[in-house]
Amino acid sequence: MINTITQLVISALFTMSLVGCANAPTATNPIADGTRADLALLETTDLHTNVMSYDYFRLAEDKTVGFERVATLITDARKQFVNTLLFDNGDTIQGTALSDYQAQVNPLACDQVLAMYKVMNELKYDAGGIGNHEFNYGLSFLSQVTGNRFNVNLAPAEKGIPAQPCAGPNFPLVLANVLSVKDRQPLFKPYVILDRTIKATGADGKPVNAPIKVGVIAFTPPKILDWDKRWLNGVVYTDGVRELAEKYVPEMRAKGADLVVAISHGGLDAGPYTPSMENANWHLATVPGVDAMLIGHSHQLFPNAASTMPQFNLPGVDKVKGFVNGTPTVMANFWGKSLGVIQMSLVAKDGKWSVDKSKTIVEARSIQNADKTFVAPLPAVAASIKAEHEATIAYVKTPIGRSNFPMTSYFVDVGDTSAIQIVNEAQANYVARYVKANLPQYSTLPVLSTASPFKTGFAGGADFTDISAGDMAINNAADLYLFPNTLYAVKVTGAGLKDWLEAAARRFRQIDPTMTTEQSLTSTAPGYTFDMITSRDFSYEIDVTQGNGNRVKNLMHKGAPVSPTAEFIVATNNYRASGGGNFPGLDGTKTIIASPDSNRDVLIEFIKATKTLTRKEHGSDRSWRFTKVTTAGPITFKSAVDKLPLAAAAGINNVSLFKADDGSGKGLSVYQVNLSK
Amino acid sequence: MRALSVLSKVHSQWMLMVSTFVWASTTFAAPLVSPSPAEIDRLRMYADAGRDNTALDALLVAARTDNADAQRAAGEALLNRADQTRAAEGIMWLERAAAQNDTRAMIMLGKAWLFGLPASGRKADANKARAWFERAQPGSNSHAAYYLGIMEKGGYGKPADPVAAAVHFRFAARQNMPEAMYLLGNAYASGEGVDTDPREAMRWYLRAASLEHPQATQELAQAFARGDTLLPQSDFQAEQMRRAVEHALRHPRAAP
Repeated sequence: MINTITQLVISALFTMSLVGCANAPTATNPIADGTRADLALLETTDLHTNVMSYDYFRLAEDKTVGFERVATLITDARKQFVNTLLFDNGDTIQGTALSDYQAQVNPLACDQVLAMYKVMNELKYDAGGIGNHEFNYGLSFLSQVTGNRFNVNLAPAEKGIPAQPCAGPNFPLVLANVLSVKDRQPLFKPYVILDRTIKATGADGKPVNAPIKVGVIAFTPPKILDWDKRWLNGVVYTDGVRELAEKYVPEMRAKGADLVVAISHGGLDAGPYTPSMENANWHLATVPGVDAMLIGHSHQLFPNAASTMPQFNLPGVDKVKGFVNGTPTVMANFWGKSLGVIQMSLVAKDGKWSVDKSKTIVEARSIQNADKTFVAPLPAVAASIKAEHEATIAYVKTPIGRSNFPMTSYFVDVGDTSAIQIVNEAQANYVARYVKANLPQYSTLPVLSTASPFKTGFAGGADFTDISAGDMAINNAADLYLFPNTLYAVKVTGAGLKDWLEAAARRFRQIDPTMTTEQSLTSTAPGYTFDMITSRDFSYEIDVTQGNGNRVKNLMHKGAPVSPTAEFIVATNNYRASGGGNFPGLDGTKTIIASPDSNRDVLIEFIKATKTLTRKEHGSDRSWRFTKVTTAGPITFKSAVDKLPLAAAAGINNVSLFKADDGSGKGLSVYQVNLSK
Repeated sequence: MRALSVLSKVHSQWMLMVSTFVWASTTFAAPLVSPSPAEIDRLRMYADAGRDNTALDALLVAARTDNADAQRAAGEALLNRADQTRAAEGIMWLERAAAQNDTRAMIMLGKAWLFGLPASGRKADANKARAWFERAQPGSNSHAAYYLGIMEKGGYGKPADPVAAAVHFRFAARQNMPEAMYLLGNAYASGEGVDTDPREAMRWYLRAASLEHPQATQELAQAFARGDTLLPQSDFQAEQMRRAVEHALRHPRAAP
């Protein structure tokens, strides 16, 4: 404690000594009074490593995004404006398969520059901030790729801080409000003062070159501590945006900054200020001496006269002209869709630049032209990262495992679990390991998993999961797990588990066995609500002759009936655990694991570890069966045309073709299921 | 002198408070300063994530002066230390703040009883949770309304009352809470406590999704995929919504 206090005293004295400097004359070359200059601040934000206009999962061009196109806007702006400074707001190094490839699949060597920073170097950025997503891959990675050596005690799962600074961007990255628990110092430089020479016009109307100092400070949302808890818990902490601005802005001014630009990765919130608030920029704008704000994080456009976003319809916010409490502010959308531009008119007085605020113009320029076409890419960008781009495509296509059976959802409503079981196995495996390592209090509870089919033919015969036997690639995992959900686990009782399965069984209509006419097996409940267990340890029946809530019967665990008071841990996703599909009791109160890992990534890792998937081991367990009943008429369901052989291969022997063409013109047949078998 | 920033002001306050604290333990002298709510929040950030015991001590000094903000902040920081003794101390400070009508402390206590608090060895107790949420004035407090809605919907501690749940969710939803908007949407989709109205459900999902609520955004993705009376079928929009879900899940809002 003594040491801490000593440090505090020292830091207080340090602050005072700098304040002392403020009164001394500054050493910059005096600029003649009346000299004028125009300066445009350019902003990119939330690029998320969308370097190319390309979708790595569809393996196809996507012109609506891409740094290679916003780079054209940057080049154009530099032609238009005589003086420009280019800044990035953050959320830059994470977000596509390219970033995953360089962070996790084939980790970047120390002497290599991250593809995203490489192209930003090409475009000659002046400075950048740090977003929350920069922390997603951990502090050792962030330390490496930014060319830093963070002084932190890393979380156990981290690799380590590089022994020497590694290659990074050749422009400064700053961040004021994240500090190391180890030394109580900011992780990055809190601010930088850029020394630049700009083209100006003297009071006599003649062109002159003049010096300018631009202070750049940056902030990230304090909530990173929750979002990347596994890397940051106990390692770093955050400090208040407004307090730090009130400390550092005068400090930058004292060091001669003519202008101060705040790069703040966050949006606007006019609620009472707290140091821990996520979007502090409405308050930041009121700190004296902040000349412009470049904001982000919300994936929105500002200024935007048409915006209905609550954050842009607050008192003091001019969403037409782009001012927040009088401070010019821009937010340039996301994924390289837009470039933010703040044009400022500067006038020299007493040897310093000041802003003629009446002439400030704020806009966000889109890569999409008025006629809906898109600006052309800047070829240098693609050329610069050709190898990384191609390696990423190769990675996405690389087999992660091999299966000896097709994984399909054509007959999932009648018991084919070929596209479900592997998901349940991966989820249960992850949760069981997590509980063992982190939740000893639950170590005696059985772990099971539920999953549902995402595609069940709503849009026609092509709208089913269908992965051929053979090599499986990364994008097949996206077919098996369509949604980018994150893995959650809940603790439920036996009664709760039965309620859950009852809700899932709403997928089926109530069947009247005495009816002689055709009855549809499935109801309007979508396939993705049909959660099922696929485990040898569990078995249950669904009696479709009963009404909702009374259909799940003989729920057994390891051969014994499940007691209503028994407790289970069930692996699922954030959607279901937090109320998705309105399942009884799944309202967020049962969650015991809220993993930041996506179910899809968990699945990919499981397939990689398992390598070879056989139907016997990974595609034929079905915990549920229909309660046997003889019906007077046919019970039918729709699936794609000509798929009966798949049902037979999956061991589903009670289905037959009822009508080859269902008449919808969508490539569907009507099949019949014999519920007495 | 303005530049002698709030940071150093807070620092010097800590020093005063800490010295007061050491001294106070023998003399019962009253602390000399009363930090503002923002300063207390900042001390909490230092004490909690920053593991800064000096800041925690400063909070405790202020808490002993019956500063409810400091009592709540100290309680929260202590609960997060994941240590049985400290967690019990944390509960005590939350109760002291609640005794001064601090509704945020009441919500924290309600949540501690609703979810249980393994760190303090406390199991969930629905009746105690309900009592705290009711004390926190659900008629004017959206968090209290939201949690009471959950308790009424789930029938925690007493039989479920979906009509009461929907009333609570509607109040919190109108206070701009996306989690409540989502559950109100679910109520309209399923006719729980309100008349079934899929369009009204979708309207609440849209509002919640505009606040980046992941589950509501997923509803929109599913609606676009199948086509809905409000959202015409569009594979492109469905994919955009899935990407929005992915992004929202990377930085979810803190639970209410």
